[in-house]
Amino acid sequence: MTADIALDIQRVSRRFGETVALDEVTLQVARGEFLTLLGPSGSGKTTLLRLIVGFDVPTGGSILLGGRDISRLTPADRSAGMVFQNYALFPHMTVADNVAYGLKLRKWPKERRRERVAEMLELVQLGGYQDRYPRQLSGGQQQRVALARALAYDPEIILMDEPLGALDRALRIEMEAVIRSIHRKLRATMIYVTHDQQEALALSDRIAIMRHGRLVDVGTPERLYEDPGSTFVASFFANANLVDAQLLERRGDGRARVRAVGSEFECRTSGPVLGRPKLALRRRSFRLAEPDGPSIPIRGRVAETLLFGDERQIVLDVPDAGRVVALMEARTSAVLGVGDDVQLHVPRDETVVVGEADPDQGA
Amino acid sequence: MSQTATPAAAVPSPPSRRGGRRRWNPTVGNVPAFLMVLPLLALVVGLVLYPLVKLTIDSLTQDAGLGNYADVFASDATRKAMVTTLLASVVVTVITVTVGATLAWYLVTARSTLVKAVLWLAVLAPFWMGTVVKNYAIILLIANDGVLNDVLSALGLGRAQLLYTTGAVIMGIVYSMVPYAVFSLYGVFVGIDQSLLAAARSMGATRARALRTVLLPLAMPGIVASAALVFAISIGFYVTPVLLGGGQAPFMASVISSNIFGYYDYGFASAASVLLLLVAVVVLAAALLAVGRERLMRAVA
Repeated sequence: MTADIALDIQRVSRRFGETVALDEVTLQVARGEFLTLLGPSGSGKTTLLRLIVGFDVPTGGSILLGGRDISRLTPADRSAGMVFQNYALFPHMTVADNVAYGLKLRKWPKERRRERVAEMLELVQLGGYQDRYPRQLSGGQQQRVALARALAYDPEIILMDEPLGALDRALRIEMEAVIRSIHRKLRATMIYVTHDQQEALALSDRIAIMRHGRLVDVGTPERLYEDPGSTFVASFFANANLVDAQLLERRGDGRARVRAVGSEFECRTSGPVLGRPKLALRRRSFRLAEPDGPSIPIRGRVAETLLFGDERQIVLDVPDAGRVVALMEARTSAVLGVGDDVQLHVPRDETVVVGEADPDQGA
Repeated sequence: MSQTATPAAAVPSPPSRRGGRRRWNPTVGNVPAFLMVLPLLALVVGLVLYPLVKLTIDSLTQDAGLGNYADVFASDATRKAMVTTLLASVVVTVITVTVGATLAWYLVTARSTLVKAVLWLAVLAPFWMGTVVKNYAIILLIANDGVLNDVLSALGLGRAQLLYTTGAVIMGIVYSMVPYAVFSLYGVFVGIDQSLLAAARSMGATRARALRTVLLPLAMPGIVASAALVFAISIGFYVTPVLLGGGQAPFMASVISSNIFGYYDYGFASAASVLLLLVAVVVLAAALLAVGRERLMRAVA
C-alpha cells in the first residue's frame, strides 16, 4: 500500500509568528493521482504548495515524497515540477531552451535534450514552436510551454498554482482538456491549486477542500457533491442553498426526521451534523412540477429572475428560510414572474442535512 | 493657450467660463510643454552645450592649435595621469557595480521593512553628504594616525600607509559612486519577475545557478548601462584624487586644473579635457552598441 503513495503529508503546520497559515494538515496522494487543493483565498492551499516544492519550510510535521522526508531539503534536492499562474517563462530564452532548462540542470546530453523537448512540445500540442520566444506566444500557449517545462525532467510530482487563473473562460476550458489528456497519458502525480470549483470538478480524481489553514474534507468530486459532510463544503463546493433545519429524530442509518422550509419530512444526513443543522438545497434541484418520487415543497415569492442562456436563475424569498437561489431550465421557468407567489419542488433524495465543520469558527 | 478640441468639448454643454467644470486632461500640448522645459533647456545650452563647443574650438585654436594635442601626448606626467585615471576608473566601476548590484538586489528582495530602511539610509548617506565631508570621513579612517591604523597597531601589525595611495582614491570614488549604481540597478531588478527565479529553483537550480542563468542575463543591459554611467563619471573626479591621492595618484582632472590655474596653459588644458571627454563618449557609445540601443533605453528609462 505504501508503495502506491507518492506524497505523504504528515501533520504539517506553518506558522508566521502568531498567524497559523497551515494547521496540522495530513494528506496522502497516490501515485498517478490528480488531486486538487480547493479553497477560498487565504485558506492555506498555496502555502502547502510552497512547502511541497521547497520554497518554504514547515514549522511542524513532515512531508514525504516517494517515502523520503523532503520537508527540510532545498528545492534542488527534491524532484518536483511547478507551473505558475503567471507562467514564469524565461523571457530571454526560446521555447526549446525553457523546456530544456531542467534537463540541462540534470546534465542530459544535448541530443537527448533536443529529442525530449520535441517530445514534450508535441505532448502539449506545440510541436514546431521550439525557436519562438515566450512573448511571441498567446497566454494559453505560454502556459502549455510552462507545463512542458515542468514535465520534461519527469519529476516525481507536478504542482500547479492556479495555472489557468490568468486565462479567459473559453481558453480555460480548452486548457482543462489539455491538462486532463496529459494526465491520462502520463499518469503523473499532480497537485492542482484553485479556488474555482468548476475547475476542480473538471480535472480531479480527488479534491481536498481547505479553509482557515485546515483540511476540511478530502474526497472524490461525486462524494463531496452528494455527501458534503459540512455546511462549508455544501455551500462552497456544491454551491447549495443552506436553510435552517430542525432535527426532530436522528436515525441510525444516516437518515433523520427534520422540519425545514415549513414542512416535516425524512431525509439523508451527511457527516456528524455538529452545531446548527442546515438543509442543503442544490441550485439545480428545483422543479416546477411535483416529481414522481418523494419531494419537498418550497413556497415563496419570486424576488428576481435572471436569464443565463439555457438556464434561468430564480431568487426566491421563502418564509422562515430567507433567500433561496434556484437554477432552472430557461424555457419552462419563463412562467415565473417577479412578485409571483409560487411553489417549487425539490426531490428529497437530492437534499441532505449537514452541520458545521468547525462549530467554534462559524459557518 | 489655444487648446485642441476634445470630444467632450464637441458635446453642446453650457460654456460657462467661470465656475464651469472642464474635464481635466492629463496630456500637455506641445507649446505649453515647450515653455515648461524652456528654463532647463536654456541652462543646458548655456552651461553644457556652449562650454563644450567653446572648449573644443579653443583646444584647436588657442596656443599651439592642433599642437596642443601633441603636447598632451608628449607629456609624461599627463600620460601617467591618463593611465591612472582610466585604470582606477575601471577598478572603481567593477567594485561599484558589484557592490551596487548586491545592495540593489537586497533592497528589492528583502522582506523586512527595517532591513530595507537601514539599507536605503546607508545607500543615501554618501549621496547627501558634501564631497569634502565624505573625503574627510575617509581620511579620518585611513590616515596614519587614523582609526584603522590604530586598530592595526593595537593588534601588533604595525601602521600602514593607506592615505595618499591609488587604493585610497579608488575607495573614495567607490564610496561616492555606489548610490548611482544602486539607483540605476534597483530599477532594473524591480522590473524582473521574482517568480522566474522561483521557477528556476523549482526545477532544481541552486540559488547561484538561478541568479547566473536567469537574473544576470535579464539584468545585463541595465548592468552595462550602470557600469558605463559609473565609469564616465569616475574619470572626471577631481576633489577625491586630490584629497586622498595627494601626489601619488594624479587624476586627469587635477592635471587639467593645474594647467589652467598653475601654468595658464589654456590650450593644453582644453586639449586634455577634450580627450577625457572623448573617452567618456566612446565608452558610453560602446555600451550602447554592446547591449543594443533599444534594450539600453528600456533599462535606463
